[in-house]
Amino acid sequence: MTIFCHNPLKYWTILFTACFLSLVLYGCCSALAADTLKPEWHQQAAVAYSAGDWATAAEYWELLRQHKPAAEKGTILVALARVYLLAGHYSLARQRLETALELADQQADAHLAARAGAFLGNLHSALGPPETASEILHRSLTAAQQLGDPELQAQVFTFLGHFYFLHDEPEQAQIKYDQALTAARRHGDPRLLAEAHLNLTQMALARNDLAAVRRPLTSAIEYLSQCPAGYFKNRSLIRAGRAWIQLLERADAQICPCKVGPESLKTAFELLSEAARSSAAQGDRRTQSYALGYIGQLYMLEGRYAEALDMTRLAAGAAQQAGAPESLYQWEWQRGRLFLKLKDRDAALAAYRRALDTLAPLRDELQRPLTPDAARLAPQIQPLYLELVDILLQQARHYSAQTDQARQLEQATALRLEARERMEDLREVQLQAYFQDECILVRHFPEVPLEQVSPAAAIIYPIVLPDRLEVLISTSFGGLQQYTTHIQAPQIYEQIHQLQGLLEKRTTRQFLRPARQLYDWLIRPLEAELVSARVDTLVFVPYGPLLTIPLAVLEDGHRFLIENYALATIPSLSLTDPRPLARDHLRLLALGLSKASQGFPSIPHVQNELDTIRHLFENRTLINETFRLPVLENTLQQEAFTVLHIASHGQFERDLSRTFLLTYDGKLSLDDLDRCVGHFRYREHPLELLTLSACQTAAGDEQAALGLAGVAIKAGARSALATLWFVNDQAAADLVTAFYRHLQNPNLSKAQALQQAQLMLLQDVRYAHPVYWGAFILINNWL
Amino acid sequence: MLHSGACVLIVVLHIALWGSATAHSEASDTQTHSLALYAQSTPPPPVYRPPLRGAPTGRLGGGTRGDDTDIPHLIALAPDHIGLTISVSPILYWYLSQPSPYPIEFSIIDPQAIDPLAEISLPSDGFGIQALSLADLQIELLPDTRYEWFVALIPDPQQRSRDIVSGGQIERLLPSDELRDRLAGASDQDRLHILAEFGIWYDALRVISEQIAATPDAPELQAVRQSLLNQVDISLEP
Repeated sequence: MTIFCHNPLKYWTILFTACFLSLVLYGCCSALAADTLKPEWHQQAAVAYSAGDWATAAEYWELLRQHKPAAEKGTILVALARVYLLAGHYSLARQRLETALELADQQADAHLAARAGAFLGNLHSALGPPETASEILHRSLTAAQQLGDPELQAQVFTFLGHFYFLHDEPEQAQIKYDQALTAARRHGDPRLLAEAHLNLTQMALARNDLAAVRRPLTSAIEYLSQCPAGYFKNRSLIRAGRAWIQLLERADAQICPCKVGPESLKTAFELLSEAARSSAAQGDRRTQSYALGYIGQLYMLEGRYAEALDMTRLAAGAAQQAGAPESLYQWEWQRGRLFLKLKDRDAALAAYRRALDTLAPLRDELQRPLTPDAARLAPQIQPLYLELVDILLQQARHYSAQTDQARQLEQATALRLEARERMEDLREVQLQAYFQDECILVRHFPEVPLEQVSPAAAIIYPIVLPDRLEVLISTSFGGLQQYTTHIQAPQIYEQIHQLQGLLEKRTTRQFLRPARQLYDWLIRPLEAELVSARVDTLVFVPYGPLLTIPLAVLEDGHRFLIENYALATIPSLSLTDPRPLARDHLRLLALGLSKASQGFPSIPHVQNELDTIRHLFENRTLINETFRLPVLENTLQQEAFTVLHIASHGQFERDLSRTFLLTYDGKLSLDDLDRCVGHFRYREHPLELLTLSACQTAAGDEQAALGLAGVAIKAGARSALATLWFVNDQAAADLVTAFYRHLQNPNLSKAQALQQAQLMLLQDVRYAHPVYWGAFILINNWL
Repeated sequence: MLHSGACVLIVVLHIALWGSATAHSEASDTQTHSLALYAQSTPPPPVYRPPLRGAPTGRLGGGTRGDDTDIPHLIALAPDHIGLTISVSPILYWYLSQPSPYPIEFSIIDPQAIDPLAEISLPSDGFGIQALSLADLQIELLPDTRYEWFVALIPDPQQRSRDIVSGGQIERLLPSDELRDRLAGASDQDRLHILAEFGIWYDALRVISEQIAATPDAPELQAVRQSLLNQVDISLEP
């Protein structure tokens, strides 16, 4: 104190020096500590990795990353990326890899660059875009080949194999996996060899070439026995076990020269048991859960359901302990299936519901698989929903058969409502998967009671199950009812397929047979209900191939469905904005291409179509030379249009990136549409209607049909009018202009306006054939 | 005096009558002579009188397809209303401007049945005016029944909506007594005119087409057929 008062300078100097010294001391100590701790950290990280404990392994590696000198950071970064990828933390993985690449650049470390590049390419395989993934992977491959490093080459070839497999190019994938095996042989590490053989096994299974499965599988198992215990070995044992299971399942179903018998069951069992034991010993509950679960599946194959149930329950328990929902849901699902085999529907329902609840937060991740293994799981989500709906409706039917018990009837209704909800969820899942975008569904509309929305409409959910057709119909008068027709799914699909082919054939009336058959299955059971509920509009929420049939052409023996009802298709009730069309604010922007362009033929009637529309509405028209993306963007920004009419060639494909509409000098992709029209979403007057004329939007392709509904949603349009096939004729122009004319009548809904336009063609001798009027469908808001 | 005057009058009258008769026969001789000359050079075009029935909507297709020059111009040689025939198995005609790069299919349907009466492939190397005889397909038309027939070029069998189709409607009429009488013993030339006059399209077209087939190098016959086609607004130019 006295020093301070009498000599501040001295005091501060001493204080400063003391602080400085202690900092230095601290730095040295921690460096020393770090130095002594590092090997321990390495060990801990390795142990955690072996045990499949990604979080802990990542922690230690992060610590190491901070303390390691730059020269050694590269390997740590790659290790971190690898563990983040395994844990599904894609953005963290990407960050680490990008840092690694920068480092590699600075240090001119080609090896690091190639390794980091390989993993980055693998990441892009899952996240897209595919061109980036392919580019990066091929660059890494070149580097690996220059470096002459067989291990790295094997790694990159494997990732390339995964890439091609995930992008539906199996021949290329096969080549890459073969090359991976060659590189692995040069290197000699049993781990690499086992992995390469397992990939080849899975390729053979994917090709359904059962005879080619055994050899690589046996080799893989042999090499695995030489591998040290740990996460990798356990995971690979499980892969091998699963491969045997798949072989067994398929051998059951067909004659194959693969000689599968009880020996194979035993082998599979042994592999999985070893994996279960080893992973339990390592404390890796997640891997253990998979091992146990697949053993359960093995028992199920053998028909030993009670034992299967026990095993699966253990698997679920392990998955819960591991905090691994992506494993848990599968075992709950398996329990559900087992309960069904044991005829316990209530328990099955409970299990299925748990499976879906567990699944819900994961849906997004599962849509973006990194490996073919994961990819195989992703599409199973949809069958999970359908299986649940199947049981719900069976139970509902069971309860409502007991008509003297009021409580049972209540339960039946509750089950039906749940079935409907699940179908709506399923539609969300599908759209998310198709667009790879969960934001597409940000707009959720509260489920408005039907009486308020549209009292004269019936909402119909036709659900094709393997052994029957269930139709749920909701009317404001009758509530939710269920109608069951016992017909096998393949028969229904066959009729749909025939209808699609024959409808487009102008020269005959052969389409009438499937049209009548489908009417009998889908509509006839509902006739009485529709009449008593005084319904004038049918709104379908179709699932599966039903999405692609023009329901207007179903015929009851005398009249087409369109003659009795106005029709619309919606993806789901919750995704449909229930506000009716604001008739007094209709401003139309018409875009058209009548001239030939970019290899597509001319569409002469487009000129006529746009000329006629011009007189009906307050509008602007961009045709041919003026129909270009920059002009379109400009125009959309200048004025608030409520109807967007596009009369041009277009292509709606299974692959979203190949979907487009043709402009004068280019292609309007979905992203372009989204961008241009997207700002409509937040305007006071949203885009009411998107009309896609002169292009074939969804002929026979379920994904494309889904895409169409999605496009409307993505573009923020409350509804869309589109054609299922190409109507190249004056008829199309006539119909569309009649539709717009009727649209100006405030007493008609959009669906009714379309109905009138279709009837107009039907009554014209030239255009009575449904190839002209049947192609038109109204999607989403039908009011 | 009176008697000789009367005789002279009678003689003069006779001379006059004889004179005029001669003149008349001379004149009619000349007329017949010139008619005969006319018949040898240009037959009078047949006048097609469409039957008074139904709205005009019989012919399908044949419209322009913009600037796609590699697609042949296809048009059924049928009127734009229900064309008539009195033949049990008539011949149907259509025009193809160039050989078709795609498979060609002919079909004919009756108003009630779901399946077509016939649906056959045709060779794709033919072009110009093509014919198909229903007799070759063992098809006999029932009277007072409206049939539709089509010729389709099929660029994509998996997407029939892309077909290029043209066709017409045909109905078989039981000939009235008057028609039957007029046709009995009539020459080919006359048959053409009579059929056209009664609005029997398909048979009229057949008569002239068969004449053309028999004498290929007869531009005047081609002209007759073209005039018939013009009367139902069929142009063979795309």
